[in-house]
Amino acid sequence: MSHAAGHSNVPALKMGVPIPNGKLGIWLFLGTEIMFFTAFIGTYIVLRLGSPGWPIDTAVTHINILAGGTNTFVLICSSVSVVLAHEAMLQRNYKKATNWIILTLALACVFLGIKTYEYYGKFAHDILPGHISEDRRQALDKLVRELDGAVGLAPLEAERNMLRNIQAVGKPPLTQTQAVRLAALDARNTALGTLAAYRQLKADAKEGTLSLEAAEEKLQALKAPDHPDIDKLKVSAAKQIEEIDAQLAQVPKDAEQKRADVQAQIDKLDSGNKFERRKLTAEQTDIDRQSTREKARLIGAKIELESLAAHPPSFARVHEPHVIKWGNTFASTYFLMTGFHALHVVIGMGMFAGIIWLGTSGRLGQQHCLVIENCGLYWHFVDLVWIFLFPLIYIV
Amino acid sequence: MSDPAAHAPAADSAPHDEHPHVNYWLVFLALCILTAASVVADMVRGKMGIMLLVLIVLTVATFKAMFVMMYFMHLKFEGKWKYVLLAPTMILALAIPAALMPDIGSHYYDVQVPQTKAAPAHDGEAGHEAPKPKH
Repeated sequence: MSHAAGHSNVPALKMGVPIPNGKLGIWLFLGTEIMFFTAFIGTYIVLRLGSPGWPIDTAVTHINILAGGTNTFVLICSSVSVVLAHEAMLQRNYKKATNWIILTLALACVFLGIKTYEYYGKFAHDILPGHISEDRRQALDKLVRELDGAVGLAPLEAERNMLRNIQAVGKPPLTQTQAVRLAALDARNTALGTLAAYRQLKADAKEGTLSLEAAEEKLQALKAPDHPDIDKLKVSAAKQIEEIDAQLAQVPKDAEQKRADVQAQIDKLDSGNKFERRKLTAEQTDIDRQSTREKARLIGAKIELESLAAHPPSFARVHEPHVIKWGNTFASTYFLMTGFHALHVVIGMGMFAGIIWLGTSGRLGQQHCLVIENCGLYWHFVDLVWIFLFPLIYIV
Repeated sequence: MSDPAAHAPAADSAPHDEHPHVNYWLVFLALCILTAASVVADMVRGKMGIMLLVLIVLTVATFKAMFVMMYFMHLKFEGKWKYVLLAPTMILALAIPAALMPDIGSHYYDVQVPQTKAAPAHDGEAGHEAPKPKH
């Protein structure tokens, strides 16, 4: 039988896929990447289908088609440059290959730059997951929160209440530091009392009697740096500072007077009445201590008022009360998809930086041909994901 | 549009290690034209229904993806292993969307969430909830 005649004629079994192991590895990795991104993109499509009234108005979502389109073009260019780098490697022209990779890295930087600009817009308009009001009540609640945030009211109010409680209980008494802080907070609170428009807007928003347009209009007025309330606040602070200065001048005089009164009592004492003398001397020391404490309290309040007058509360960063239905789901899916894509871009840039380092140090050789092909395959996949993200996020 | 494949050898006739010759600039041109087509479709969206727009841009995206995969990723010139390796991932990738679709994507019941509730009488601001559209 021929097959029994000689085993040596039987060709050796060829196992596996007829491609290099490295290439098989990157394709297996890309297979997992397909599942990773399809899960995001597919879920996004399903969420959109199940959310009637999904925000598509670019004036609301601040989606910029021009930025998205430019980024698509940039990524296509980078795909060409990386494939031409591989082509140059096959021609053993390593300098040319390095130059194409440098161009690819530069294009990746442009992509990330445009993405950063887009993300900046999202942060500036507070289009972030969990930050978006989806009905009128939420919008007004958010307005109240942000107004208080601009004045810094909530944490200061909490601190002031705590100190007042300690003062009311009296055991243990306020420490020197706490007394100074309470005086500063009281002074600040009095000055902030002049912000009538802010208080009115906040009260109306809390009540819910306000329409969103009216709230936005009032907020715009409040945002003006020359709002009359800010002037009133400065006047109030100046008046308080004047009073404090007067008190500061009076405190040592009062103390001096009290000391003199006690001294007169001491002088009247018999030389033998040591116990009473010691008691009155201690009283004098106490008068000095109290005077110092009072001065510290007044100076604390004065510094707080000066700082408030120099940096009055600004409402410039309070966001207009807008309602974006499904806005939070929109923002979540937007940041999830574009964020993970951007992360892949950054990883690709790291790979290119490594290749450029090899190329510029003259170490790039034929042994790196597969490395560049694999990096190229990864980069084309990144481009591929964007090819689908662009229409789904920016156009549809 | 001219076919960039015209410059490439037939898929099965080329062994994997033999380098295929593709005119990458033609592929690049095709991708640019297709991207521009998507943007133009967005610009004239008012003249067509949203469904037609979705159909156009997703078809364009699929063509772009095919160009990238076939010529840049050289899948046109690879062996049959590409189907064995990629087909299962494509199918498995649809598992999550398919699982979510019946409940999240389409409901046979009325969904009681704030976003779908009609605004109270006082809040009659449906037209004012957001700035007016640009288009």
